[in-house]
Amino acid sequence: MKTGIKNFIGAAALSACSFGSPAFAQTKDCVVLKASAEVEQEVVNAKGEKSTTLAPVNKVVPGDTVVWTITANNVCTKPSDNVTINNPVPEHMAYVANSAMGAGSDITYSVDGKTFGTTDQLTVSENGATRKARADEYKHIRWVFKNSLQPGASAFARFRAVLN
Amino acid sequence: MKSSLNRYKRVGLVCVALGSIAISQQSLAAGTSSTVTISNTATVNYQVTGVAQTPVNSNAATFRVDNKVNLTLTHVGAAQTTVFAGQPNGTVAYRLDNLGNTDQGYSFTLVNLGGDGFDVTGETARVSTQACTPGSTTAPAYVPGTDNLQVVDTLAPDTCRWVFFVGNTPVGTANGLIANVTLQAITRIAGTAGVTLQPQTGSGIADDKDNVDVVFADTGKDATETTAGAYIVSTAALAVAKSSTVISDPFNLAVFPKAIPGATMEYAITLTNTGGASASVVTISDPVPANTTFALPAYNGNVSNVSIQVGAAAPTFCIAEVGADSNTDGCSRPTVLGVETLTVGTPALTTVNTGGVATQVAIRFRVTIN
Repeated sequence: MKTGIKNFIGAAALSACSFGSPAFAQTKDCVVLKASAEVEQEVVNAKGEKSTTLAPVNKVVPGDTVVWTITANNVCTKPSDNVTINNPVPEHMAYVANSAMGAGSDITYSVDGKTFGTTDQLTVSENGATRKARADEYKHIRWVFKNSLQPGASAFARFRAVLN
Repeated sequence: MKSSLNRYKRVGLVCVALGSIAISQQSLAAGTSSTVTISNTATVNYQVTGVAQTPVNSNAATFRVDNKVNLTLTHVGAAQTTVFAGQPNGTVAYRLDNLGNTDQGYSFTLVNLGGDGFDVTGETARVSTQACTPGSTTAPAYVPGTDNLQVVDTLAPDTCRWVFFVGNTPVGTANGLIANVTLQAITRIAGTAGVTLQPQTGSGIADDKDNVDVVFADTGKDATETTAGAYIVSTAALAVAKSSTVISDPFNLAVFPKAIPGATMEYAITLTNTGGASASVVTISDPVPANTTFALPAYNGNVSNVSIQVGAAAPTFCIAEVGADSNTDGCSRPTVLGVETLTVGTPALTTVNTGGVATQVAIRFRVTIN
């Protein structure tokens, strides 16, 4: 019985790995992750009313702001629990303060990639002194979704970054 | 069972993805270089029925950094470059800065504006061979013969070049006149010897994030900058005047002497420079008045016959001998067109400085009335 449970755990763990070796059954990832880059565009309608929409990136030069959107979609028949999305801020870009969003998630950041915290918790040391980290010093963003992702459902994470 | 768990752990480590690494390029104040690919890959960790699953990576969302064209052309130095009438190669200096993120070339257009005092002639743009430090407002001097290039082939982002508007001031241009000019820098594709215009990617071209587009981000968004400059003429303006005084006559001696035969007259030739630059290599020639004879030396202890005084300073003296200047002091009385002519020049007289009456040169000599 004890042995049987161990076997069950072993088999379940192996089947979840996407890098299946020939000895194990191929199973798919339950979450499909998509990343996209867009820019905000101002749109004026026929009445002259202004609004903003997101358009795919095309002409991006230093100083421009890019909106990164990550979508996690549950393609399995069981819920995905404790969904956490990690996104390193792309090289040559600086995170825009307060721009990270993701409904139903707790968002933390990291400067060194190891310690994650809220904006109030992150520090850097400069010239021997410790100070609060600036948003443009955040190198990683993490979204921890509080609720399970139901089969067929999607979760969204988004942030903005400026091209250096 | 233990072995299968171990195998899972190993495979699990392999399955964890690292963040994507974009092409590494040094970040510049002008920004990330064009053509660099920006890439973003996210990772999701999750569990199914309490079991941690292999983390999943997103696609790598990418785009390439486009060419941001931006430049400034800054006039440096005096608001007006001082030139003298007839001066060749007067220069107005500018600093050209590439504020974009891509190497560019530049060509130049020169304009002599109308409605001002004068126009320089033979105007050309010349690029200095001296180093330029961004932000510097001290241009080097233009070196004719060395600074020959009239275009910039390649200028890297965050670097600058000194560029000169070079022109000749016409002879005879009056003191104080101003020539207003403009220099225009036009962005060119780097490496084309300033020949090929840098086009902007039009809106008619299909959007392609992986294409390196060109975006004009300069003032006016036309990849050119035009900046004014000016020349001002500061040249000598000499006024020559002549006056005479009766020094003595044989009857009244020095008391209210009259201009009668035998009387001694003193002539004073004054040179007054009311211009902005000193007059140099000045020589005066004055025919000895008819019916008079150059007097015997009466200056400097009766040694010299010409006195030269600048302003209120103590006079200097020379001896104007008949004929050639045998003592080479600059003063002589050669016969010119049959007339004895007093000539005063280098080294006795060389310069008339600016300053009006305060620096007026007075040349005095005496004659006796025949």
